[in-house]
Amino acid sequence: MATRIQDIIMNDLLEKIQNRTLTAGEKLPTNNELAKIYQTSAVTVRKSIAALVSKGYLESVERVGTFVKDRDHSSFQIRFSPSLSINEEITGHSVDDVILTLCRIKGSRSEQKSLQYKEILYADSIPIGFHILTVFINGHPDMKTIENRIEQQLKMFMRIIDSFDVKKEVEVTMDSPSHSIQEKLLVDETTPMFCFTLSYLTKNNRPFGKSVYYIAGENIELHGKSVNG
Amino acid sequence: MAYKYDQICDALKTKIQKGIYAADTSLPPENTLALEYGVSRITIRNALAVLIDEGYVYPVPGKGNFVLSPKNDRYLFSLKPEKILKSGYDRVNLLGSDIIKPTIELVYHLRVAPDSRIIQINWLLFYHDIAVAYDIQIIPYASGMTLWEDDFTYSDFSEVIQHKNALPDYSESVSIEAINAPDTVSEKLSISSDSPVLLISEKVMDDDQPLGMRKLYIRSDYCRLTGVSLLT
Repeated sequence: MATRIQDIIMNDLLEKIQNRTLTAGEKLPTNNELAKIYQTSAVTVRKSIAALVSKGYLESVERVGTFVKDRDHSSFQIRFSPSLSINEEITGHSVDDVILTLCRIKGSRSEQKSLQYKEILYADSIPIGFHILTVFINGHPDMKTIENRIEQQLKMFMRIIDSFDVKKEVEVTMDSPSHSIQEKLLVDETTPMFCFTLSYLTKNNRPFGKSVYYIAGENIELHGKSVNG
Repeated sequence: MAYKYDQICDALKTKIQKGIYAADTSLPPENTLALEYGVSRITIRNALAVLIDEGYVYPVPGKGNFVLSPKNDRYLFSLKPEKILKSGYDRVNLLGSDIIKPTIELVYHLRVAPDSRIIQINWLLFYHDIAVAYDIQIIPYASGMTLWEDDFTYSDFSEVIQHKNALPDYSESVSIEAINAPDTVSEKLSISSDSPVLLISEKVMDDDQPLGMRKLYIRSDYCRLTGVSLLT
């Protein structure tokens, strides 16, 4: 099987980054210049650059250029998803509530009308996590219909969120949940708790929802490895 | 350097993500893949090993390798101390360095002999005079190493390892947990015994050989890690 030109370019750039021919912070030649060097089209070059950006080796600054990312050896690829990372199998969930509310989008002052679903995650009959899913909406939803179809909607949202068309930003803290959530999870302020806040965006960086998960430290551990340099 | 199995791995990953190999169906047998990509079975097996390790495929003995429907669950995090503290830090104290005997846990993780020695370097990070993080760095001791305490600067743990080994090619594994602080830690961070803390454990490896370990304890009210999903 012939190797694609975009792979050749990608591997060549990668090698130059790894042996420091291209140094951290250095600006790459423009796509057109690279196209001339590799004797191919700018489109092919763009694909190679995009691959290296998504792997964390390069970063694109709009209208300025593409730069070699600082290889600080502190970049890690870490996996997180409730079903994967929680060490017990999630056997069920119960929807605590669904409400229409206003929610502030991260990085903006405006508030967005949202549907908010609250569910408790169980392993057998023990609550192991609390999930608040917020979906930004327009218009006037029929709450009766929504309340009748909660399960289907949640399933649909969770499937969308797992697809590769969604960009997610995650924030991990140990912020304590409210007292009412603590009670539902059978924990208190001395229990080590993780708080995962996930912002969901379309590929065009438009936010369309978010999730907050509260999971006790004894139920979850995150693992990852360095992004190799 | 780009290894053949890497390229095949990426090609198979793309096919799996696009659903060309459907979830819960088996991949073509190794021989077929070897022919298709024009490589040896061993190369295919190396590619499959990576796919299994990264969760794209699971092996069923006697039946083959089955596709797992891939989830968008991979995130890129920076674990630089200034980036994982809500406030950052404005001062670092070197608490000391010791040459000590390894505990059972360290014997296991660092694969050193119980009667060997390890170097432990302890740092305390402050923000506005509050101790917010406690960083313990552990390296196996080889005779002839000098502890140049005067030269110690707080830098990436992997930099410390590099000083000893000058290796460009190493990998680190990390695990992140929320636990009750051990007494040695709660004392240093001036928090009450058993308080919740974040523990980030890193292990630096050269291929299979552990080069060093690090445990970074952060007060629960000061930690914030941020990551972005990796969409490859």
